[in-house]
Amino acid sequence: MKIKPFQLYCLLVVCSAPVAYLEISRYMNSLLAHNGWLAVLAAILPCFIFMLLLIQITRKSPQPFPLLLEDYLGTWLGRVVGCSYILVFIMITAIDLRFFVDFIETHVVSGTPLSVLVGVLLLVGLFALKSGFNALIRSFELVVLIGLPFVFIILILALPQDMHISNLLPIGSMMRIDHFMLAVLLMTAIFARSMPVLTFAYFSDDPGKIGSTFTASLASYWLLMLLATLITTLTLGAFSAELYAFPTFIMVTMINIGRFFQNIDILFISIWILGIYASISFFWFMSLYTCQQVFRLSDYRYLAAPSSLIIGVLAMQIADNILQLFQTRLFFVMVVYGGFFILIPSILFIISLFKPSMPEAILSAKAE
Amino acid sequence: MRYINKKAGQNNETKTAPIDLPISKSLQDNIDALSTLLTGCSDVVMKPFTFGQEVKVDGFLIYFDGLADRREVEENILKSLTVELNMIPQDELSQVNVFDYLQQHLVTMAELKTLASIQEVCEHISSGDTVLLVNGFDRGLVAGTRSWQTRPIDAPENEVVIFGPKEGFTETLRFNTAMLRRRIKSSNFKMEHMVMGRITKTDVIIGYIDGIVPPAMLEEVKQRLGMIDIDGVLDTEYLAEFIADHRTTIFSQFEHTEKVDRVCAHVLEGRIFIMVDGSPMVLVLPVSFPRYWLAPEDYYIHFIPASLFRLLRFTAFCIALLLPSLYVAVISYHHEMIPTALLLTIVAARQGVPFPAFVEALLLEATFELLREAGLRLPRAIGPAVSIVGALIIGDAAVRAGLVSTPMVVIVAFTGIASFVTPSYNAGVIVRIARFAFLVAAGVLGLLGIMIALIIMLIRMVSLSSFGLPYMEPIAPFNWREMSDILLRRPWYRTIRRPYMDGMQNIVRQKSKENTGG
Repeated sequence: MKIKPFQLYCLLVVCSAPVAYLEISRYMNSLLAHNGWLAVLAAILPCFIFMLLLIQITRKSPQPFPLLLEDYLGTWLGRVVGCSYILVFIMITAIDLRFFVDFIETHVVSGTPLSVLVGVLLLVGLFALKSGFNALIRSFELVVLIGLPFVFIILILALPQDMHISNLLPIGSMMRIDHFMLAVLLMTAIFARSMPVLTFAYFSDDPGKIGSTFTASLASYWLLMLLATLITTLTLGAFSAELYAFPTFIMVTMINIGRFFQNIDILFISIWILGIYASISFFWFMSLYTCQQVFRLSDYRYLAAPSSLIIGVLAMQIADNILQLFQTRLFFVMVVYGGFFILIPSILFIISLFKPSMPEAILSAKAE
Repeated sequence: MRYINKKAGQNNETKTAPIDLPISKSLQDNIDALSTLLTGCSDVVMKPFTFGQEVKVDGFLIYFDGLADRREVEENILKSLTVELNMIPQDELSQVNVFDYLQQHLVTMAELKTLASIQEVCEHISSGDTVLLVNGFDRGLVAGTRSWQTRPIDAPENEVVIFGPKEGFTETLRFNTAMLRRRIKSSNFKMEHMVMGRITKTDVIIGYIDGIVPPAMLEEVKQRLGMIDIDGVLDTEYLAEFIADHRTTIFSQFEHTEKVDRVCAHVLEGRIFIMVDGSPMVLVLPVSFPRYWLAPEDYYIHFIPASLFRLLRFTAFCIALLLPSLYVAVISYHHEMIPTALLLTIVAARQGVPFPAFVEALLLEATFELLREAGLRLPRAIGPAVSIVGALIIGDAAVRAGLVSTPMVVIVAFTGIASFVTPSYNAGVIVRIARFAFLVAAGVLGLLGIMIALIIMLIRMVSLSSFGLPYMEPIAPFNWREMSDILLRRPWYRTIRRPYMDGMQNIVRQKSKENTGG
């Protein structure tokens, strides 16, 4: 498989942005109230450092993730860690799925059993995985091409609805430094979901553009989160935004264009489905691909059907209600993302510093 | 290609079938073989005759009446043999080989060649040629005398244009190749010939421009065509189903066109066309889905209006595909989206309608499709009248009877109009089929259902390819340079390169500062 720089960009965007778009502003508002956007602003630095860390690992690794784990940590430890990544990816898929299903059950199709919605979305993901990696990655391109401009348009349309600059004032006041640090860490941890790029960067058909592709994806993620946080605070106010489960969504419901286009939240949800589809399929694919590599299987596709059952059951059982889901998700973001997407890559990065540069032959083979 | 396929494992000791015989030196044996083979063919003309004065030679002429030009046969073959041969000094004739003499001096036809088997004789006469067999020679002489009634060159009814060339292909292969050759006067423009169909022996042409077309793709096309073993090929679509990358899909992986200029434009962009004798429809490959919305006349008008028309066409595509399902979703599930005044109007119009919006839409869409099909199949004089009157009367009666609401009639009519904007028939078919799937999805889950159906459709589309070219190219994989000539029409002076295809030999189409063109 060969991946073009734009496809790599799309992968990075779909693995970090879709879910974050809906939850970041809530986290920021609940931790820092009207100063939430400052944490997003500051998070650019750790996110950038994390990005450099990934680029360094990519450049030093003769093999893609998860095989590079064996290369860095030794065969047995590498495989054990690889196995744990399979579980992590499956958990992410299940939590993202449940998060979205709970959201649409609450706001769109009330009364529809969760299992029906889980089943339908799993069916779509299964179809995508069965269609092969090329189809999957091309569908992500479509998702980004349709979704990203639409989301920015929505934000810009929401801005003039009920904007009060005073909602941001006084800037920097009443901000606890520990909450600020936690908010920055949250932003970084969610961006760290792009760690699986260690697999795909290896297959880039233009390794020279990996750096600029990473930078572009970080810029998109950061700008999107900044605008989402800033605009929810501007339009809803920090304290109202804190009360809502999905402040970004509430902001969209306020949009009214020419007193004709109103309540377009359903359009927003429709487009957001694209992003969720991409996010779920991506981590589902990662779990299957990691499984294939760790256990040296010939193909990952035949694992798709059985794994769909595991993901479906897990998604249904992971939480009793949406509040419990939020708690589980926050724990997951802090502990699992922190451990598997920040800590382990950091260890790999440190090891990579002591590894010799890749021979020219391997570099040219990678380029081919 | 054999006239009748020999069965595998045929016993060598069994008697050889007449079709497998070589041309015998004994004229009578040849006549017997041909008579056996062509028993029951009332249109075959077999004429034994004798020519020469002192040296008497038996000859035999065979052709199919209606396929061969009888006047040409009489003037250029029979008259030469029976009259002009007598004027040649007999001593001169006796010293030379009669067969060679006939070939070189007497039969005054431009297209002349020799044959060695009965199989070849049958093939050639089926194509309208005339075959001459001479006693004592194990060869036959074939003269090109093809001439049959054809439809005149006309503008294709299915691809109407306002600007630009209007002529379309006919059912006669040679006319079609001539029309193409008249436009592309290059020796690099190749039209390779194949014969397909065990019984029909249909002539098939594979056309391309050598030096532009990707050679690997060309080889692949030839290989796939070569693997077809069917009794008859009556239209290009027979071949399309065999050689497509993906066979079980509603998404056509070819472009079908009757327009000569359209084929020329494709060939100049490195594509390959396949033409079949007896069909005016030409297959062009490879093709990607977004290119179905490019009309040939986009390139014959100024790029600014052409770009606007193209945007309009894309909008019409979205309307044709999604409008009825969006209406059903909004009416059934998301009515809060509709402004109150409009909602009240719609509710008032739907008052008394016994069906839910989904069933109403399904019924009207099905009726519309029925009327459209009926309009196509009815005699031309009454077809449009019946479909228009049918639509008006049925629509009006259904509204008056309270079976459907007026907003739904407006939606379906608007969708119908939008679907006719599509320049490609294939794309129109996809839209017509997919529309029903979206309608069902909207009826079940509202906008959520529509989006899920859309995602499934997009996944299917991106998983397809047409001879290796991704089906959604240049949207996915995204290529900005190509996109600028898809959404909008790029000005000619900025069209430096041809649309990219893997393996293309020459991508530069005009001279610029950076290159000298190709």
